[in-house]
Parts: sequence; structure tokens; C-alpha cells
Amino acid sequence: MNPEALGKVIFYGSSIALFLIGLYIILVKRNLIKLILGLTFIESGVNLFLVSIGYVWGRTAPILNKPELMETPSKLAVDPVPQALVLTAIVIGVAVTAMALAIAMLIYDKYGTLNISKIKELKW
Amino acid sequence: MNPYELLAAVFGLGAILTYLLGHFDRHLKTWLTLITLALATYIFLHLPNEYSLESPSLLFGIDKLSWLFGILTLGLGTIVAFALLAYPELSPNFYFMFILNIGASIFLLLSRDLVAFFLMWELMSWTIFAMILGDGGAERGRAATKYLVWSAIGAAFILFAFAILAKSTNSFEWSGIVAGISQMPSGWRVAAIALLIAGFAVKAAIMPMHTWVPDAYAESPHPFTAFLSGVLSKLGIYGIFLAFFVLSARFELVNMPKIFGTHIFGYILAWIGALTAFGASLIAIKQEHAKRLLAWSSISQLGYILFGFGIGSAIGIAGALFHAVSHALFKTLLFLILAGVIKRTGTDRMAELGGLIKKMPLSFIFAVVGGLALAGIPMTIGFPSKWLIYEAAIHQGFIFTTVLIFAASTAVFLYYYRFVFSIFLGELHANHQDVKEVPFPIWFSYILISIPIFWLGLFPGKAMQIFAEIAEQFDLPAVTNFTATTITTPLGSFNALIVGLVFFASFAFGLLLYFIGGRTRKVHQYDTFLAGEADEPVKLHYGQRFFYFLERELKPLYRISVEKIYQFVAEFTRFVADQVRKGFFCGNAQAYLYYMTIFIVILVFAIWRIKL
Amino acid sequence: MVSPILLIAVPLILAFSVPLWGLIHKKLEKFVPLIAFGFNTYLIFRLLPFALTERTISVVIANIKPPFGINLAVGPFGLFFALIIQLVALATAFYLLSYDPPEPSDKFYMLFILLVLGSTGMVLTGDIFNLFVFLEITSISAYALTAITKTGPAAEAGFKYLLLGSLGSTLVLLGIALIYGSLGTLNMAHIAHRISGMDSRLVVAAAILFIVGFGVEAEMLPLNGWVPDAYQAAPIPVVALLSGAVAKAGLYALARVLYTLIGMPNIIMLLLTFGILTMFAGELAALRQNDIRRLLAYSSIGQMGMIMLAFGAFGVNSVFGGVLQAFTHGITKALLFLVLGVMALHTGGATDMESLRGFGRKFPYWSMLFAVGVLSTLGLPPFAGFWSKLALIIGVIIDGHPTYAALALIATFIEVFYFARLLSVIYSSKLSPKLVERSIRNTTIPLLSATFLAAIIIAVGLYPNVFFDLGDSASRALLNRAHYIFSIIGHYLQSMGGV
Repeated sequence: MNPEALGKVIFYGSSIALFLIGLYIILVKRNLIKLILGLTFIESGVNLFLVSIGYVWGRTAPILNKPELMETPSKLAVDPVPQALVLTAIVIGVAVTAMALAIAMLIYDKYGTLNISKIKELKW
Repeated sequence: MNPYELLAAVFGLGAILTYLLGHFDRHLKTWLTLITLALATYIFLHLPNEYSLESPSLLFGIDKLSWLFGILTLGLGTIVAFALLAYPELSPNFYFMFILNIGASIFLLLSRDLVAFFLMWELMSWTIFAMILGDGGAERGRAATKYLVWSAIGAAFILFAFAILAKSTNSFEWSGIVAGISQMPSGWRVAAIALLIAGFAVKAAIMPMHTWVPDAYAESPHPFTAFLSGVLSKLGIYGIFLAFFVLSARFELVNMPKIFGTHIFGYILAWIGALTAFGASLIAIKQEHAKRLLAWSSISQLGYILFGFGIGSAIGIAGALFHAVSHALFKTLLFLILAGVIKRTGTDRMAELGGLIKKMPLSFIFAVVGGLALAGIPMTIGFPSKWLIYEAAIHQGFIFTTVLIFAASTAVFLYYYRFVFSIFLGELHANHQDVKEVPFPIWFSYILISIPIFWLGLFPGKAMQIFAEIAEQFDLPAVTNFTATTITTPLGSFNALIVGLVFFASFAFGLLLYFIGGRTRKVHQYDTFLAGEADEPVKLHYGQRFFYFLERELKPLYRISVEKIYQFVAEFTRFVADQVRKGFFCGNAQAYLYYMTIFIVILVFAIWRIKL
Repeated sequence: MVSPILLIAVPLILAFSVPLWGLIHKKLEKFVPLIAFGFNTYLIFRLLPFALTERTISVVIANIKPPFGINLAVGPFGLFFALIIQLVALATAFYLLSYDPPEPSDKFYMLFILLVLGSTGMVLTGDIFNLFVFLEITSISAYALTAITKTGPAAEAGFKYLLLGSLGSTLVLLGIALIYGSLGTLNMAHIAHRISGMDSRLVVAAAILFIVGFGVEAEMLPLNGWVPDAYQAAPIPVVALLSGAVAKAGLYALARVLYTLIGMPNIIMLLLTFGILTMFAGELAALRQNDIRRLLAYSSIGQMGMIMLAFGAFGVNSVFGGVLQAFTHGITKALLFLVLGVMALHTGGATDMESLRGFGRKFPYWSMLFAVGVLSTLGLPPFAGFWSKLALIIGVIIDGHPTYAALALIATFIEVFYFARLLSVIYSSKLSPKLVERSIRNTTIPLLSATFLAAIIIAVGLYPNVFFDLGDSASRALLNRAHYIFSIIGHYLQSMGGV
């Protein structure tokens, strides 16, 4: 298998693996913090996937600091768009994680437990 | 301004003004209602033929059928509103709904396209809910809820049928549907018409859509029940007429078998009507509350009307329409009388009433009048209408249903006698020693209603004229052989005036004998002989479980109840609802995440199957 | 013409200026949402005539033309939903003037504006990643606002919403990744143009991811576990927005992605099944509720199910009905929740049915407003709900799905039952002991706010023509994929050598 295909397998494969690990965590684990971690895994997996899409074998980062790059960027740099998307997505992920942790703290304060199957005051 | 718009404005403004100004004086709201209705009646009588509203596009028009039911609605509505003068405790809210309801009913009768009709139907329906709810109370709430759910079921049937018709005939207007319906495949056509009739049957209290009636009639404000039973059920009848005779564009065009010369659809309707008439009258016999008795009686009489429509011959249609008019009149009268009795005594339990003839003689006289009309005695409007229906049945050759109808009429005598006896005859209850006659507005309305009861009973030709015009307008067979006082059918004829006068003469003769002849001695009510034991006066009024012996014999028949099926459905729905609630929305966030994952899997499979 | 970008820009600036106003004077903070949404509503009404012309306007941002730059696609469909959102936001913002905000109040108002801003952005954008970003803005503000009262139930509800919502958003991102990977563009019109060139398995995968992701916001079964809890625990103005704005934005996104981007009728018709299931689940669960807040939440789920069903039928008439019903539902639920909020003030916070028994006897005007909302939800004239329900049912039947219409009608029987029961409890003759004699505070402002919404319902009910025209353009615009593509990137395609 040529390096290019191998690279693709590694990138896509690991992003899917991260996603599945995260999915496993949020479906199986009970602790709120672990759930948040699982969510982070899922987000990381998706971000990795997104960034890998832009990758082209043998090209360099899309930062225009060399004259050759500035001349024909489209032939020498990887796709910059997914990188921008992922930056945004990572920031969003951070915000969500921060909020989730804050709410988890609040839950622990009010309910005294971090076990999700016990936090069922609102139901039916 | 166009008369139709004027009519709408009168109703709208009348309702709003009555609501706003009604707080100032106890009787002002009733007078405002009466003025509104009077104005509306005047405009109604002078409406031009057609009118179309631009936005949204609605079509209205007036024809003989709308005119007939409209006069009935406005006339009886005004009389009931007049009787309301004796009920100042009803809130302005009630009058607001009342005016809106009558307005919606009138415009319903004037609608000539689907959207206008459905709009008015729904408006009419929910204002009834508000009026039944009235002042609130647990039982009232339950009865009103039951009514609204049934009304929604009926409306859903009607809407669905309308949508099918609109889609197939590409038109939303009556004229377009009538023109296009013959092109529909006959299965769809029959289904649409059947759905329509089933939807209207809810309002018209035909079995098995009748279970809301006893509760709603029993719990609604008493004078309103008169209107509900007298007028509003007739709107369901109007709808059935519209569906079966007008929109279906003459079923003869459809290749379906005939029984006894009647199209099978009509035959089925006739059976449903006959069963309703018979079943409801049996249940009326065993009622202990007078309001419920009259409610079941209404269901029964409406069955007669459906029976007449089902027969579909000239006499049948004329008889059914006549019975609609006559039932509207005498049922309103009977309910108003009952309302007066309840107002004075506070109860409608017949075991607790009795002997009121001494205190409320006027009410008694009119109760007898109403009863004569209900039973179909000559002199009153009940006779020609019932006579026509019997003639139609016999002429068409229906045997079993005729037996049912005759049995129902016998039952009428039974429950009617119980009604009059338990309330007015027999012994006066100790609590009711101080009861007075009903106030002027109520007994005056008795007189007002009795006038057409006698007039049309002696001169039925006037009514027959209208029915013939209606039948001719819609290309239906019409009874044409009548004069002002006689009606002739292939089976025979009668002269209402002569027959009525003979009855009246014999009645007068009996009355004369009662007052002149015989030696009577006035005895105190409690001066009873008890085989030697005479210490305390004992009430010997026979008022409770009047027909117990009959109920015992008919026990197997009484076990049949549609209500049980509905209860079962309601219980089952509640059970499923609880399962959904507790099973699905369990509160555990992780479970929700599982649902999400499983959902993705399901979607994958679903799309796989669709695409492959 | 006024630039629609102001619909997003102005509230954004105002949102972040709230703490500054707070420095001047604490009381000034609560006026900011009103200013923001008052301006927005005014702007929307200025833009409405364009909605009637069936043109989709592309608003170019930063002078980079689509498909390379991010653009707003302001068309009849988007504008209609933006109208719904702004009207609900305006009424709720007005309600806020007399509402005690949970601390910290400046963040509350800021998040409030951001929530509406996100929803408005979702319905107006023409770029799919932009859609994702606005989705996240909306969602994060929603999570925060749900938990903002910092009570136990609020935190629990916020966490559930967060779990489901962020998982959903991540799936949306994955779907975007798939699309970008195959097509190389993020512009919705460009994607729509090129989607036929994408491997159909990937298209299906993206579609599934979008359905699940946007379905969480749009309250679709089985992703709506968070709904009853969030509606019960969040502050009342927030709940009104959740139901009126956020759910509608989620629905918009779902419809836009499925109709315009993916455009496969088979997938769209899946909405029929899930819509009716959502409807039944919502109505059945509402049947046994005693707490009115939860009852309204389940009713909201049921109504969203019905709207989804209409969108699933894939025809002009049914989408017309669906769009109208979205409008009616947004306004009506907002009205119901705002009135319920005032009712709760009189019982000391309790919202179960027994505590509010007899409310109608003591407070006839408020109960009348509530009754207007209930009757409109049930689809009774002369209210807006009548026309929208009529159009929906007839539309679904005309477009060839009579069984689903029949099932929807059966679900409405359940709805009639519990709402009739609710009305009879409110108008009961018995008075609940909890109803306090005196008025807690001056309720003029909520009264005006609720009356505003009720007035819209009655006005649309009596004169529905403008309403019909708007709905008609909107539904045609949604179904007219070619027109959308052409309006946004027509010039680009032509410059690339023929469309």
C-alpha cells in the first residue's frame, strides 16, 4: 500500500476510532465527568476527521511565509479551509466543555452525586 | 353594504357589545341579545341570492333549505333568548357565546363552499363547549370535555371527507363538487359521503355517535339545553341532508344494489335511524332524571328523521324534514318547561318531584301540549310529521324497521307519561309547598312556541309547501298532493283540520264531563287510608323506578352499550399514554443518548430498504 | 433596500454592550433586548415585501462573492421563519421588562439576545458551516439559559439538553465534513448544484447525520428527551423562545438541508413517519400530565411532529400548511407560556393544574388570553390556528398522503381532550386555595406583551390573506431548488461556462 493511502487509513481510521471510543464512553459510563470526557473524545474524532480531509500528500502548511508558496499556493499547500473550520470547531468544543463542567459542578452541589442514572428528578 | 356583511357585522357587534355592556345591568345583556337576533332575523329574511367574500375566498348564498333551518334557528333562538330574561344569573360570557353560536349557525346554513362551511361549523361547535361549561363544576367540565372530543371527532371526519372531495373534484365549492362527483370512482364517493354523514351524525346525535348527549344535556344551563336540543342538533340534520342528497348527486347514478326499491346506502341509514329511535327510547324509559329522559328522547326522535331520509322517497323526505321542524318546536318547549320546573324546585330527579300541577298549572298544560306533539297526536304538529314517516315506511315495504319505529313510538307514550306524572301529577312534595308558577318570560315563551305547534298541526299545507320546494330544488322526489289542510299520499290522506277539530272536540267533551259531572270530594293529600293504621301521613307518590318491571324483562337488551366500547378505548389510550410517558421519557439522560444512537441505526436500515 | 445583515449585526453589538449599560445603571440592562428586537422586527417588516416577490436575495459579506465567500440567502422561506422568530422575540423581550432576571442579570440578557441572534442567523445564512456556527451559538446560549437559575432541576435539565445537543451538533459537523470532503464547497447553493456528483452512500450518510443533528433542536422523536425537562426548568421567557424560536430554527435547518441540499424525496418522506410518531408520542404523554408546563412542552413536541409531517409530504400544498402551522405554533406557544408565567406568579410559582383551578373566575382577562392560545392550538376559528391546521391537513391529503393526515387527525383527538380538560379546570367553579388575593406586582407589561401575541393570532385568523401569500411564497421557494441555486451562484456558474 502506498504511503498516501496508508496515511489516509491512519487519519480516517483513528478519527473513527476516537469517535467510537467517545460513543462507547457516553453510552456506558455513569460518571458525569466521564460523560463530558466522552463528548470531548467524539468532538476530537470529528475534528481530526475534518482536518484530515484537507490533507494532501506531500504538501505543506498553508502559511504564506515563503515566496514559492505565495506564488502558487494552490499547488503547494494543503487545503486551508478545513483548518479554519476545525479551529472554529475546537473553540466551540472548548466552550461546550467548559459549560458542561460548570453545570456538572452545579449538579454535584445540588444533588450530591455525579452518577447520571441517579439524577432523575425531572421525569415523565 | 352588502346584506351578508351587514348580517355578519350585526352578529359580531352584537356579541361584543353584549359582552362589554352586560355587566351594567342584569337584564341588559338579554335585551341586547334580543335586539341583535331581531335585527339578524330581519336581514336574514331579505338576503339576496349569492355573495362571495374575496379574502379569504368564501362563498355564501341562500336557498329554501337554508331558509327553513335559518328561520327555525333564529325563531327558536329569539324565543329562548326571551326566556333567558328569567335567568339573570347567566354571565355576559354566556350571551357572547350564544350570539356567536347563532351567528355561526346562520352562516353555516348560508355557506356554499367547503372552507366557509367548515369554519362556521367549528365556530359553532366550540361556542357550544363554552356554553356547556358555563359556570364550571366537576361534572360540567367532564360533560363539556366529552362533548368537545366528540365534536372534534365529527369535525375530523367532515374535514377528511371534504379534503377527499376537494381533491377529486378539484373544487372547493358546492356547485363544483356536485358537478364533479360523478367522475369519482364509486368507492371513494361512497366513502366520502359516508364519512361526511358519520361526522354530522355526532351533532345529530345518531347512534353510535350519541354518547355525549345525555351528559351534555344534563349538565348544560337549563334554558340552553332547549336550544341545544331543539336547534343545534338540526344543524347535524342539515349536514346529513346536504351530504346525502345534495353533494352525493343522486346515488342512483352509482351502480349499487337496491333493497325494497331503496338504494342500499339509504337502506343502511334507515336501519341506523330505526335502531337509534328504538334503542334510545328504551333507555329513556329507565331514566330517573328528567333532563336525561328528554335527552334520550331527543336522540330517539333524531333517529326518526334519519330513518325518513334513509327511505329517500318523496314522503320519506317530506316526513323527515317535517319531523325536524316539529321536533325542534316541541323539544324546545319541553326543555323550557323542565327548565322552569328546575328553576322553581331546584331538582330534576323525578323521584323528588310530584304534584306540581297544583302550583304550576300553566306549565302542566303546556307540558301536555308538548307531550301531545311528541307522541304525534292530531291537533299538534307531531301528527303530520309522524304520519308521513309511517306512511313512507309502509309504502316502501320496510317491515322490520317499521316494527322498530312503532315500538319506539310506544315507548314515547311510556316515558312521556312518566315525565308528566312524576313531575306534575301525584302528590306534592313537602319542600315544594311554596313553589310558584314560572315567571312571565318563560310561560310567554311557552305560548309563542305552542302557536306554530298548533298552527302547523291544523294547517300542515304551509309546511308541505316549503318541503316540496326544497325537494324540487334539489331534484328529489316531492310530495305535491296537498292542500292547506290535507295531505294525500299513495296510501291515503287525512285532513288535519277536521281530524284536529274532532280530537279537540272529544277532548273538550271529556274536560266538560270532568268539571260538571261526577261527585268528587276534595280530600287532603295525606288523608290516606292504610288498612287501619293512620298515625302519620305517608307519602305514597309513585315516582321512583317507575318502569322497574319493564326494565327487569328487558335486562338483556339493556346490557348492550356502546359507551362501554368507548370507555375501553379511553382506558387503553390512557394506558398507552402512561407507557409512553414513563417508558420513553424516563428522565435518564443516558437513555436518551441510547435513543439517539439507535435512531441512527434505524435510519441507516430504513434508507437502505427504501433505496434498495 | 435595507441590508439584512443588520438583523444579525445590530443585536450582536447590543448583546455585548449589555454589561456596559449595566455599569451605567442596573435597570438599563433589561431594555437592551427590547431595543434589539424592536429594531429587528421593524427591519423584518421592511423586508417582507421582498418575501412576497419570491426572489431569493444573496447578501454578500466582506465583498467576497459566493460560492467562495459566506453569504446570506434571504428568501421567502428564510424570511418567513425570521419573521416568526422576531415576533416571538419582541413579545418576550417586552415581557422581560417586568421579569426578575436570575443573577447574573447582564449575562442573562446577553445570552437572551444571542439565542435569538443565533436562530435568526440560522434561518438567513447561505453557507453550511455558518449554519453550524449559528447552531452552536443558539445551542450554547440555550444550554446556559436553561441552567441559569442554578437550581437542581435547572442544572439537570441543562445538562440533558447539553448532552443531546452537543452530540447532535457534532454529528452535524461530521456531515459537513463528509460534504466538504466530497464536493469541496461550503456554500449551500453550490452544494445543491453539485450534490448529484457525490457518492450516493455518502449523501445518505450526510443526510442521516443532519437529520439526527438538527432533529435534536427541532424536537423530533426520539431525540426530544430534553424537551419536557428544559421547558419545565428554564425561566418562562426562555421557554417561550425555546419553543417559538429555537425549535423553528432547527426545523428550518432540517428542511433546508433535506430539500435544497440533498433533495432526495425518499429521505424527505421519512419525515412523514417520524413526524407522526413524534406527534403521537407528544400528545399521548401530554394526556397524563398534571403540570401545565410539562403539558405544554409535550404539546409543543406534538405540534412540531405535525409540522414535520407536513414537510415530509414533499408537496407545495403540504409545505404551505407546514409553514403556516410553524408560524401559528410559534406565536401561540409563546402566548401560552407567557400567560402561564403570569399565572404562576399568582400561585407562588406552582404550575400544576390543581393550583390553578378556578383561575378563570378570578382573572377573566388573563384566562381569555390563555383560552385564545388553547383554541388556536386546537385549530378553531376565528383564530390563526384554524387556517394553518386546515391548510396542513388538506395540503397533506391533496399531496397524496391521506393515511398520515388521518393519523394526524386522530392524534388531535387526544389534544382536544387534554386541552378541554385544562380549560374546564381553569374555568372551574371551585377556587384553588393557592390563588393569592392581591396581585403580586404590576402585571401591565406582561399583559401588553401577551395581548400583542393574541392580537396577532386573532388578526391573522380574521384576515388571513397576507398570511397565505407569505406562506405560499415560502413554500414555493423551498421547493424551487433551481431558483435558489440560480439566485445565489447563478453568475458564478455562468462565468464557469454555462449552468
